[in-house]
Amino acid sequence: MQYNLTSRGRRATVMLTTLTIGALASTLVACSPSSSGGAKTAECPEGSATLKVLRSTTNVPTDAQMDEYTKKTNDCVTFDVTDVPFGQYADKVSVLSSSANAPDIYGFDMPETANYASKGVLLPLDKYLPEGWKEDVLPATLKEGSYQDKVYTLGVQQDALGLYYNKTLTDQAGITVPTTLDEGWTWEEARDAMLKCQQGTPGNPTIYGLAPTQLGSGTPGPIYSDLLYLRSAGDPKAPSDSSAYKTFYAISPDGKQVDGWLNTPEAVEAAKFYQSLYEGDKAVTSKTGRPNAFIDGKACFDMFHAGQVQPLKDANVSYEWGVTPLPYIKTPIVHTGAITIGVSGKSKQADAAAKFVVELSTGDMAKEYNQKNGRLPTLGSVYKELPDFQEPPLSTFYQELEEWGQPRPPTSQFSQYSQIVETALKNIAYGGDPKDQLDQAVSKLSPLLSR
Amino acid sequence: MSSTTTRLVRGAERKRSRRELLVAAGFLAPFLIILVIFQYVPVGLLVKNSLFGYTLINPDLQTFVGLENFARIFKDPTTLQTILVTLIFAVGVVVLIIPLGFLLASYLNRPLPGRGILRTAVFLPVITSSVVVATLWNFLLANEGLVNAALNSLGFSTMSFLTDQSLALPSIIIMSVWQQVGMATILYLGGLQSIPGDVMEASTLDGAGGLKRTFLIVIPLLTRTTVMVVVIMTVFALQSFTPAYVMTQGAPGGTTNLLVYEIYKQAFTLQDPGFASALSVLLLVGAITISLVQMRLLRTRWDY
Amino acid sequence: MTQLASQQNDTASGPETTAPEGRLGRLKERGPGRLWQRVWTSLVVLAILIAFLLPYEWMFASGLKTQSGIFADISPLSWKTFIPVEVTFENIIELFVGRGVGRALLNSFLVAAFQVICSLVLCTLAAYALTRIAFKGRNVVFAIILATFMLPAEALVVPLYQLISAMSLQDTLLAVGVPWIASAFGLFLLRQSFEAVPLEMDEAAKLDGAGHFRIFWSVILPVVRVDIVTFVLMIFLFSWNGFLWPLVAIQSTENTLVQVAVAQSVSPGALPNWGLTFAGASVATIPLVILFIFLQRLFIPGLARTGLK
Repeated sequence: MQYNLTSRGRRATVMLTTLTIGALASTLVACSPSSSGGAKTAECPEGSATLKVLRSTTNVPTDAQMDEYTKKTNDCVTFDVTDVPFGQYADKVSVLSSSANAPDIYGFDMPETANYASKGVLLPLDKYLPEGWKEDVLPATLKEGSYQDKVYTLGVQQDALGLYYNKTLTDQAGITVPTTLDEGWTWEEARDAMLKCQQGTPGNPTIYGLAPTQLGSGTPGPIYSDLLYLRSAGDPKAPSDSSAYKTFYAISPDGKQVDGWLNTPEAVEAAKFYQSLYEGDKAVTSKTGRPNAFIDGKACFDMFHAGQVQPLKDANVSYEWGVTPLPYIKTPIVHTGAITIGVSGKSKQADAAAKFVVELSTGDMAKEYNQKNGRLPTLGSVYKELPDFQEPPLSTFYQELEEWGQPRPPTSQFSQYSQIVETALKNIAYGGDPKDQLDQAVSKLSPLLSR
Repeated sequence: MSSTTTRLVRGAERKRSRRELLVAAGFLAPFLIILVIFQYVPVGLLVKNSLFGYTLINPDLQTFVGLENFARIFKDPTTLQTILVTLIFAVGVVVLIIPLGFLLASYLNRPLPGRGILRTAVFLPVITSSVVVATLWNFLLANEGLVNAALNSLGFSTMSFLTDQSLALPSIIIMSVWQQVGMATILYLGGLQSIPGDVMEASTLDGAGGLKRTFLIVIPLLTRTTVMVVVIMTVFALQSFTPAYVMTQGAPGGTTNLLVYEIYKQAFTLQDPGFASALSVLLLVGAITISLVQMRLLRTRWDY
Repeated sequence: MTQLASQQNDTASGPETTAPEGRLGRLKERGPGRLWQRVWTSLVVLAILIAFLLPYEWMFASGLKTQSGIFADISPLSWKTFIPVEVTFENIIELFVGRGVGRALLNSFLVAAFQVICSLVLCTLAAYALTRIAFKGRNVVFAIILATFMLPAEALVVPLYQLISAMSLQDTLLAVGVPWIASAFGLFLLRQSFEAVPLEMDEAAKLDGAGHFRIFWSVILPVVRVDIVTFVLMIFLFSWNGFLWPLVAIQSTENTLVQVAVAQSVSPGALPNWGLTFAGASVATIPLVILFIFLQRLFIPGLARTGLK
């Protein structure tokens, strides 16, 4: 066997290795961005700032908005953006908010407001609010963006679910789809229409009655859409100790109790109906989903928010389409709340960040965003200036919002509520026993809520 | 091979041994320092965390809860189900992978057309990341996926592999077997090729048939390999995360709620890192105990 | 010794080039080659190939289709399912231009390279001490190291994040790589091949007046270089394919690693896009497949040997 004891070149190799490691290591560390606030100068009378933004992929604040703002401030305020998929957003916030590189601005889902506000993640914005804002904003938005009488987020947009329909397919099936809120379908009526319009065998159709969901992770269960089945089986006008009343709210007013609110007999019945959309001989949709089924013309109906109007227009689809109000079981209801922006309670550049957030959520910037993206405005003044929202299809969403809108169950443990109820609904859609699943969710949630 | 070490130890003088110890320390120090900082310190932190109740959002607000997190593990039916599911998953993976790996290895040990390609093909999933494997299988097994398309064109009806209570766990077990069987095959192939030829020929002369030879001679000779495969696969299975994270989110009915996914959910989504740490400690102790028991039961010693 | 194991000392020849076809097989195949047996063998070979390669083929092909194209081609099943008739590169373009997957690939590569180089240094040094230097407590040290092999990395995510934050390393690529460079598995692999080098070689070197470092560098390392290829590939693999830790440790888009980027296109919230996801999965897989195909002649025998001990 050969071995070589001459050491020439060895030192060189060792050096080279050391250098490589050192170089690599410094590359690896150098990548971390740092935010900085600069002193006040002639160009930047209010000081310069680089704001770190954590947003849900492609949502507010958009690149265009930030570019515009940077220009407006003569490059004094710039941004450093981190995109996180919607499904992972809450997880990321929990990791980042307490760390040294916490963002200055969060682009988060509005029902999380109480959760984040109660834990000091968000900064109250009351002193930055423009005059008259509280009178101009939608009451539901104000309520959702506040916690203990302080405003933490202004809301850039509102959302409501509607039922899109492929008119070419429904006409073929001889279905007349209502277009006003008064004539809106109950779920029984809607399901009959979906069954009639569906093509192929239930459970494995060639054309779905109802498009597989694309909300949340793209599987059944997101409470934004699917908790509505349960809540719409309740009745807010019933006495406040009745189970019909509690079903409608799905959580106690203080956000601490779900037993007797989430697992009422009405909710269980509604959950059974919900399950029948996925299973059995009256199934009209699929458990695993096919993305874009509606746009591709493979579904008669699609439960989606106003955000699909613009893509449908852009896609130049070969069929006629429209939007009908969201079906209900007993009481019509849609969830309010969309992605919004707020300032980190730990931001060292809170002033600059708050100014940006307020600017984006009000006046021309809000109007421009709502108009360009077809997202419902939160301000009455903006709504009046945008005629698109006063005629179909967008008017349907706006009317729903005004007449039927309810926030998602308000609690400072919203992440937990959302996760656990979503899992229960998913299990029900997949064939789990509705009563068992809801009871289980309640027993899992109760200790977390009272914490 | 291990006899070499004893030879060295013998006759070592005290002085020399002290100097040797210093040299050894020099050689080992970088490795051990990093190991202690990034493996043993976190384990210590983990144990500490498991005794507290706190949230990641507000880590300063922590309360000492003693062993309550551990007590909760055994009180909470969901967690017990998670542990059961993870064990079934691990057993399923190991029980399927051992015979399949062995069969494939015996097969690949023969003169076959395109043996090299076959070996590469079987090993390909091992080098593919589990995220990609889970993504790919998600699309293979979806109601609208490739497998159902194949079933439909053969005249069978659609199967809800990932959403049916009775199919979801078997589906992800099969996926994991597909992913890891190449590893078992390669290890067995090494084992088979290390069996001296004369042993095989002698047994043939004794009139041992194929099956008899396999069971009486080959399998016992491969015990060490089997232990290795069992331990590696068990540890792999207990650590699985992506099937639940990417494919099922633990549904339907928690039947695919693997332990590591539950840990992730508890820590980050449900904001209970103390409880997550208790589960992690359980996983840690469980994985080590199971590996040690397996090595014991299969009656081999790893020569350290 | 056997074919595989004796390979250790010669360099590049793989088992295909030198191995006599497995002895078990040869004994069995003698005698009249029956037609049905050959047919049966071919069928089994075909089945194995379909089971393991077809999903990849489908993945690569679908990455070159539009989303509606994938669905149009999947049912009914036909050759079109597996061959993109109208090839589109829009997915690939979107990945690199719109989603910065190029950056993610580079990041993954940097982290993997860092991990490989560092663990190579740490593990070879440690393996030398554990096999070549006699000292008290050697077995204890090895046991302490090996115990971490059974330690599920996933269980450590929360405390590791605490640790990394305390070092102000969160959201850096260094944080992704550095916790795993003291690899117990890598050490285990190397320790075996170090042990296989005859001690006589050390002794000859010692007579020439060589110290430990010189023996390590000039005697042992050259002999075990084939195993080092296996080692390098294994570490590279672990690093490249890591998921949960990079998911937690990295926050900013510009530091994302490729596996996380792929998983994010699986569930981007509103519109999961199959075409994009397939393309992403392909992009994350192809570099490794290429590396593996080139190095497998060295890699597989090296790995196979670990099962012998």
